[in-house]
Amino acid sequence: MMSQAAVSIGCILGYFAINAVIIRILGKKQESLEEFGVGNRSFGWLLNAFAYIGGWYTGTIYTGWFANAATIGVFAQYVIIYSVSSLFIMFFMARPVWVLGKVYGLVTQGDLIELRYGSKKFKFVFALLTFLFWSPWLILETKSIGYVVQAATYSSIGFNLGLIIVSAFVIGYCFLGGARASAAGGLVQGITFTIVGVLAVYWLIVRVYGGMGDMYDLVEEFNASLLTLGALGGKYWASVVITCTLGGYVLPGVFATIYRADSSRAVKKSVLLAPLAGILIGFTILSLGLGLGSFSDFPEDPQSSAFWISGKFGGPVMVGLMGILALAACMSTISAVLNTASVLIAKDLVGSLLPAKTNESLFKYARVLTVGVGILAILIATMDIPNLMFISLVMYDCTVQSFPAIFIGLFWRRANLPGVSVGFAVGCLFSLVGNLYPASIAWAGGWSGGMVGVVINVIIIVVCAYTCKPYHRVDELFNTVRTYKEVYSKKLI
Amino acid sequence: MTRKGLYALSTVIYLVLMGLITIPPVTQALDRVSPRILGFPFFQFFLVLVPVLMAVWLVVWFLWECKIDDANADRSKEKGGDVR
Repeated sequence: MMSQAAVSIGCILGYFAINAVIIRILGKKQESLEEFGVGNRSFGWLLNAFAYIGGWYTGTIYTGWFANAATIGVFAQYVIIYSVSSLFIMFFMARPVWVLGKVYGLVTQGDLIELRYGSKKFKFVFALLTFLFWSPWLILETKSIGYVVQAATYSSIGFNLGLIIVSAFVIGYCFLGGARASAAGGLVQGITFTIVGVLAVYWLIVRVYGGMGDMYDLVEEFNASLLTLGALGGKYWASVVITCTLGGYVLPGVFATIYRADSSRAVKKSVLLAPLAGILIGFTILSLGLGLGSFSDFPEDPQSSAFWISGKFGGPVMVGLMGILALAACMSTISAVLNTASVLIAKDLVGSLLPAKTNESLFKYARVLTVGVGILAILIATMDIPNLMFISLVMYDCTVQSFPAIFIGLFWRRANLPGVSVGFAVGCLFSLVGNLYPASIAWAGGWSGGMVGVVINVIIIVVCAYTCKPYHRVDELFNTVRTYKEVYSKKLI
Repeated sequence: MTRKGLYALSTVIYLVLMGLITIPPVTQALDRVSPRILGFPFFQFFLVLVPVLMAVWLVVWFLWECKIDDANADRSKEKGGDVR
């Protein structure tokens, strides 16, 4: 067992060395908040593409989602649908968000909210709630690191020690290199789990089942209900896909992806790789998990089943490789969240409370906060938090409520502050109550609290649009987007 | 086609594809194992088909929009304006 662990640990250490070298080569000295938060809006499409892919695809796809594929079947593949469908929303938003970011020097999602609705107070509340709704995912990903390291090293490195070592590495490069280091890490990590990951997992599918067709035959014979939605279908399936689609594209990290590209065309070009990666990664890994329940020695803890099947059919090298893939996905997500969250807290929260602070001092706050938020995430991740996944999903339902304020505000001049603030509050209330007390929204006939909240949120925005006045600068903003002349580059990195 | 027209067309395509995979009566009709299509169980086939069609449309959308932007840029150059 020790020699197997040594092979696996060696693979992982080698990968860390490659990461460190590439981040060092692509890194730049950080001198301003704009550089630290959005890389001075200079990223070429390829760097932005893999930084985005790395940030979007979480390590839980190799643990929690993989386990779901084995236990609830094709329902787990909602991740493929929403990952691709939400890119449509990115396409719609890319030009207005990028142009406003460039012209008005926006660095965070809160900056856009303040610019569009003209309220610092709403920006503060919006940014605070968005951060709180988003933060459980940082904890989940940090916890995933512990899981992955423990499973990939045959338990020779413990859960807590593993998550501390890997998280410290990520915090270190985010502190030193900001958005550019996070993106450079995302480039290595994204390429790893997109190209190497898909090939390795497909190889495992062939080794384990003989091929895709054989896997479907096995599942149909063993438990055909895994190939359908069954009782999980209907309105519940629709609610999950729709809320994930809408919620995914109002996460603060998505705005960082748009701001840091060198043009809106670069954003769209970088996004073109994401569906391909999403379909290939999601489909192969979840297909591998689909038939594992048919094995008599399927582990009691299904979250470690990706490592169990890798060891069973590929030995310690495959376990090490699976560890690398999962760690790559975790690290790229954590670095993206850490960088965005530290800039969000510095600019939207500290900057709103202490308006006299200059961007120079907020930059220093952002760097310190990278370490602070990272250490806090490690501390919380080492605690035993029951129902963390449930908390994260409830928070996601709340995140969706910021979609109308952002999306409608970008395309409809009449959307105004009273409408979006009341709509956001009421929407969040419905999400929380609907998730905590499902009986209270039984009248919705199976639609989730998040979906009900979004519909009511939109109705409030529309009603207020015709009863209250819009922000006086709104015409100027829309004209800026319409008339801005972009310079397109073909830069890769 | 103008940029507005392209965005409107994309909205329609998006709603149709999302409808195919989310509207409850439609998903309930598709939610079967047989018959297999191209080796995929019936519902699994649509779970793959919809994102693939979305990905294809995103590429078409990108190329089409680039064409519109470039045409607008040429036109504004001829007029001496700066609207893209």
